Amino acid sequence: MSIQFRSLTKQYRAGAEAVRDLTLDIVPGSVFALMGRNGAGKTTTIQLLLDLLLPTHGEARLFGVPAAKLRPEHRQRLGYVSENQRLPDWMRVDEFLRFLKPMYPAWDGVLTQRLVKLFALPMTQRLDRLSRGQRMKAAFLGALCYRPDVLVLDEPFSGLDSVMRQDLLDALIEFLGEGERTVFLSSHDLGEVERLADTIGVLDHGSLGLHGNIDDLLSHAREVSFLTATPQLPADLPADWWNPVTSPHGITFTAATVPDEAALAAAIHSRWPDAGSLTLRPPGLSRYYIDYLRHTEAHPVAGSSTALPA
Amino acid sequence: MKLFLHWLCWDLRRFRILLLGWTILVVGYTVLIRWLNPENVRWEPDLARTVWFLTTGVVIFEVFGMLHVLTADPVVGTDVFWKTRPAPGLPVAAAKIGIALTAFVLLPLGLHALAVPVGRLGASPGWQILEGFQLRLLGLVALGAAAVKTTAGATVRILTGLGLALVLSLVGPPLLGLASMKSAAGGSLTEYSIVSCLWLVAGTGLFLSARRSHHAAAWVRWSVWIAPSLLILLGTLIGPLAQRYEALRAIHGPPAIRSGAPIVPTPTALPS
Repeated sequence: MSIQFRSLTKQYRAGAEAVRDLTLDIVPGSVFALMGRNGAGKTTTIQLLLDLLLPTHGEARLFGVPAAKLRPEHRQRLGYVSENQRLPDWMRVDEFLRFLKPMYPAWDGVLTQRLVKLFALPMTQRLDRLSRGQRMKAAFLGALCYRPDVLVLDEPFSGLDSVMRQDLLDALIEFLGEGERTVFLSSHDLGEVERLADTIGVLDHGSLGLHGNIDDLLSHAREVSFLTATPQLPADLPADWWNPVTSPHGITFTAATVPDEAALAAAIHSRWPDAGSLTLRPPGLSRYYIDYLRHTEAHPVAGSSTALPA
Repeated sequence: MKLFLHWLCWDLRRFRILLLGWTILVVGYTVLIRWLNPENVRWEPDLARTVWFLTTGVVIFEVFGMLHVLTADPVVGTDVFWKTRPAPGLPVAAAKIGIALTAFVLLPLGLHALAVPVGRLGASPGWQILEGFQLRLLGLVALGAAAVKTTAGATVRILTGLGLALVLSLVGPPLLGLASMKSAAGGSLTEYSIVSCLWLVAGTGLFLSARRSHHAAAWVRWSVWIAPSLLILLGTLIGPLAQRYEALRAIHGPPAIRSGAPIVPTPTALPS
């Protein structure tokens, strides 16, 4: 495994647990998106993974090595870009690249030139005089030019305009197409997650509430809508019917685990005998994710994962 | 070693303006002190004030300069650049300590050592005080060394380093005085050490508060340089200005200068 978390817990001095008993394996070659609301613990998890923070309990492992024991030869295979990353601002872009190059035996000059051209960065400009988007491009440049085996991205697209996003996405997609690269991505941007990631994990108050392959998750779920003259919600709704919303004439929700559509339809008809115009369709990631978050708000589960499809 | 040299080269480039400015300042200051040898010039109040301001400014500049180098790449924090790169703490720390030690401890000490025999400034408590001051700076280097490698418990280590600097400053001068069989200059030497060390600790705290908070506005981070710059500027101007403006004559130097005692200016003439 490229990345592993074992009972990882981080408790700050105030007592709140930013990450709680996180156990997770990221398969090499996959693009994993860590999602969750603000303050869910995504950035803390990444900082624990990179040994920027010390865990209270448990451990994060990269390349099979505990984060606290990562050596330079491991970091030579690791790329990291964060929206809050501090760069050596006193350097110009060309100096920044010259500064990094000797630290990475696998530094690829041709790739560097190609990315510089793609990003259209002003090479003689100091880093502290670049716009936010250009700084992110410079950070990407400094993380991609040595073709890292593992790339860790913390909100890389946050606050960027569409053109900047597209440039960075193009670079990332090219990077992913080059071989078995593992990407660990934290993002709020569902569009980018859907486009890049094959696996997601959702943190809820520091605990891993949901994770799995996106295609698997979505293929087992159904976005349900139907009409009824009695749009009230009974008390015995199954736990995996997320975020039921009533309107004057009907009800919609996301059924998270649907092994059999006929059984789901029967369950609906048993509760709303007059249910008509029943529609069952696989939800998009956005709908699925938002309904999950709303569900966890309404039914908080302390310290344990939500039941998930296999 | 390769990585150490790499960081050293880039740090020299990074601090080139600071180091150039400091070298010019400390060389100019030493030449001035050498020229102001009581054997060469007659000491008058204006001159004493000038030297006091200049000396204090240079001392603060020296301490802040070294702290600036040592804390340029923060030790702790979750956005520290070098910690996400294949750069072990040792070469990163060694490069900074090497620069701080050479520029802010060895250079002024060496220049003073050169100036002493030429200007016959030795055989006075001033030389011992100077040596004690350099010891304090070495203490700060020790603090930096402890801090740069720190990944946890930074506050504890910084306090430990400051304590180390304090102990060195207190025991250094008397020990040196005894070792060289020179006069220990009575209790005033200890008093000097305590007062200047308290200033050092306060200044260090101020510096670290302002500089380590990278979220602070640029002017806050740069404001720490205002005090030494102002003192150096005042020291440069006070003589000619005092000739023209009566009010400035009220500005006094430290007691030793006011009393009209024989003056051997040393960087320990911190405000008391």
